[in-house]
Amino acid sequence: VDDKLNGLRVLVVEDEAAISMLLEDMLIDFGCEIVGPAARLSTALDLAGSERFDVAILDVNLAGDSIYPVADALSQRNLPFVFSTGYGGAGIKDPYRDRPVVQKPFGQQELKRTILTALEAHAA
Amino acid sequence: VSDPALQATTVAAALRASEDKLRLAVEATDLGLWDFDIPSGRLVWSDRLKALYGLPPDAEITFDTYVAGLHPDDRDRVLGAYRSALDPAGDGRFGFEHRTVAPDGAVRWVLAAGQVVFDAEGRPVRAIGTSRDITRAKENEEAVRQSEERYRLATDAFQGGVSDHNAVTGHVERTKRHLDLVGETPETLPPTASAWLERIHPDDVPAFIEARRPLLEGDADQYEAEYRVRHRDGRWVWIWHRAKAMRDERRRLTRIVGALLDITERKQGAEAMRESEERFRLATDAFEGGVFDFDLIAGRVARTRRHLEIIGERPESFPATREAWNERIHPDDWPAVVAARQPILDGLSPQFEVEYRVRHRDGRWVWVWQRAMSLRNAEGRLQRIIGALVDITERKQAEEHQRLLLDELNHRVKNTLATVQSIAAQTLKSTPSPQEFAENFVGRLLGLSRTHNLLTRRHWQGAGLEALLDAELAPYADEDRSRFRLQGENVELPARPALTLGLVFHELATNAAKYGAFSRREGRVEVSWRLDSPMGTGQRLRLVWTETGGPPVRPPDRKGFGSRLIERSVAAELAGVVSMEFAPTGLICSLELPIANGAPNESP
Repeated sequence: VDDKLNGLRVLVVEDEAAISMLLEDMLIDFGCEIVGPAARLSTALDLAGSERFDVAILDVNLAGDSIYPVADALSQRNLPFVFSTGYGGAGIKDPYRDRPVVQKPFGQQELKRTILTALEAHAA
Repeated sequence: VSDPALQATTVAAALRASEDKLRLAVEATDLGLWDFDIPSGRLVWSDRLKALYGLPPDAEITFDTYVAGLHPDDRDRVLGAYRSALDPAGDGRFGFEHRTVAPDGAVRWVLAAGQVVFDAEGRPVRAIGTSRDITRAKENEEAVRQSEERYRLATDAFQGGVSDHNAVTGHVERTKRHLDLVGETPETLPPTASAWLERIHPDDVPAFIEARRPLLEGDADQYEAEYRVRHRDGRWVWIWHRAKAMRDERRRLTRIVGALLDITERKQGAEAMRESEERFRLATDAFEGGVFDFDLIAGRVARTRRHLEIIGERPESFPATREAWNERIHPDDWPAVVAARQPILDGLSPQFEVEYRVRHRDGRWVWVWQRAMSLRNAEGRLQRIIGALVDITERKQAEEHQRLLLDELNHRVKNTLATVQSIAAQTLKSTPSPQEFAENFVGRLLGLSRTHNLLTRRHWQGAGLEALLDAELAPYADEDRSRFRLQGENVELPARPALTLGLVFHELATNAAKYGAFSRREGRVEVSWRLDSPMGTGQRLRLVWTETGGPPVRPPDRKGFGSRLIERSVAAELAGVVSMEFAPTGLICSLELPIANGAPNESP
C-alpha cells in the first residue's frame, strides 16, 4: 500500500486482458480501487463521463480505436490521467503531448511515479 | 637586146625592181632586214630595222652603230654568238633574242636570225638576216611569268593544297601542300582525279560527287565540299575543298582549279561537341529526373521536359522563370529550400541539395530531391546554377510506410512484452514453487509463441480457429491427435482475437492436462463450434469445449490466472460471454463472442 495512492479510485482503460490484469494487480498493491477495467471505447466513454474516480490510465490504442475521445471527456471534467502506450511518446497527439505517459512494458514504480506526476500537475 | 651596157642596165633595173619588191614584202612582214658585206665592212639596214634601233631612215649605219644599239647587258652574248657563226667549221647560222637601246633610251626586244655566207676558200664574205620586234611578246611573257610567280607565292602562302585538273588531258597537278595533306608524294599518288576520289571516305563519296556534278555538267562554275580522305598512314583527314571551273569560249571545261584545307581539328572539335551534346541529351533523357539551367544574368531558367513533367507541366506553357517554380513549393518546405540554397548564392558553397514538396498541376504534392551546382565567371561572379531534380514521392511514401511498419512492430513487441510481464506476474502469484513457476510460465510463453507463429505465417492478417486450437491442444495431448477432436466450419479470426483466444485455449489445455481429461490416458477433449448470424447483429461464434474421460472435476477454490484470464478476455476484451460448467464427466466451457465480419485487422 502506498501512502499517496492509497484509497484513490483509478479508471483503467486497457483492451488487452493480460495487461489490464497486470495494471489491476499493481494498483491494488498501491491500495487503489479499480474502476473498470474498460476494454472498449464505448465502455470507456461511459465510465469517463459518469463514474467517480480520481485519476485514469488510458491505453492509447483501444482495439483499433483512438483513445482521444476519452481524453477529451476527462479534460472536460478536469480529471487527471496518464497514457499507456506501446508506440512511444511520439505517438501522443496534440493537445495531449505533454501529458504523462507510461511506456509498455512498465514496472510498478514507474506506474506510481507517472500517476503521481499526473496528480501533481493537476493539483498545480 | 644587143647592147651589153644597156643590157646590164636593164638587168640592174630589173634586179633593183625585184629587190624593191622583196624589200616592200619584207617591210610588210614587220621584219627588219640587214646585209653586211664583210670584206668591205659595208652594212645595209632596211628602214624597218633602223626603226628597231630608234634610228631615222636616213641614218648612216656602220658596225659600230649596230654595237652601240645593243643593250649593254646583251652585247657580249650577241657578239659572241655572231662571232661563233663566222667560224667556217659551223653552218654559219645564228639567232638570238636581245634588247636594243634607242638613242632616246627606249628598249626593244628583238629576235635576230641570219646566215653567214662563205666563199670557196671558206672565208666569210657576207652576213644577211632579219630582225623582228618581239617586244610585245616579251612583255606578255614577262606578264605570264609574273602571274605565275604570283600564283606560286599565293599557293605557297595558302595553308592548304592546290590542284589543277586539266579537263582535256585528265592530268591533275597537285602542289606539295596538297600531297602533304594526305602524306603522299607525286610518286605515290597518281596525277588523276580518280586517284583522289578513291581515297575519299566511302560515306562521303556520294555527297562529294553530288556537290561536283553541277560544275561538270556546266550548270555551275564552282563547288565546295567537306569530306574525309584516307591519309597514307591510315587515319582519316577532314578536307574542305573548293574548286573553280575554267572554260573555253564555247564553255567547254578546260581546267578545274581546287583549293583544299585540312579541317580535321575543327571537325573533331565540332564532332566532340556534337557527341558531348548528344551524350548530354541521352543522359538527361535516360535520367528519370529533370535538369534545369538557371541563367542568373538573363534571369531565365531552362528546364528539360522531364523536369516539368514531374509537376504535370510542359516547357511550352510553363514560364521559364524562377518565380514560376518557387510559387509551387510547399509553404512548409519553403524555409528549408531558402536555407539550403543561400550558401550557393552567398558563394559559401558551390552546390546544394534539398528535398521539398511542389504542387502538381492536379493539385497533389510531389516530393522532389534537388541538387544544384553553381558556375562562376573568372571574377567569381555567379553566372548559372545548374541542377537535377528527381521525383521522390514514391520513396517518401515508402519511407512513411516503413516508419509506420516500424512503429507497428515496435508497438507489437512492446505489447507482447507487457503481456509476458503480466503472465510472469500472474504465474508467480499462483505458483508456490520455483519449479512450478518455471513450468507454468514457460508453458504460457510457448502457448503465446504458437499463436504468434500462426499469425506470422499469414503476415499478421489473422489465423484459422481450427489451426489455433490444434496448436494449443496438441502439446498437452502428447501430440496424440486422437485424444482431441475439432469440429466446426472454417472460421478466420483477426489477429487480436486470435492472440487472446490462443491464451484462453492454452489455459484450458494446461488445465485439462493438470486436472482434467488430458491427465488420464482415456481422457478426451472435444471442441465444436459454429457461426451464428442472428437478426440485426454481426456474426457470433459459439464454441463448446467438452472434456470426457477425466477425473471428476469441481470448481476451483480460488480463481487462478487461467480462469481469470478466460473470463476477462472473453467478457471484457472480446465482448463475449463465457460459462464454465464443472460437470461430473468433465469441464464444459462455452464461449460466445462476436466475430467482426470482414472487419479491418485490429492491431494487437
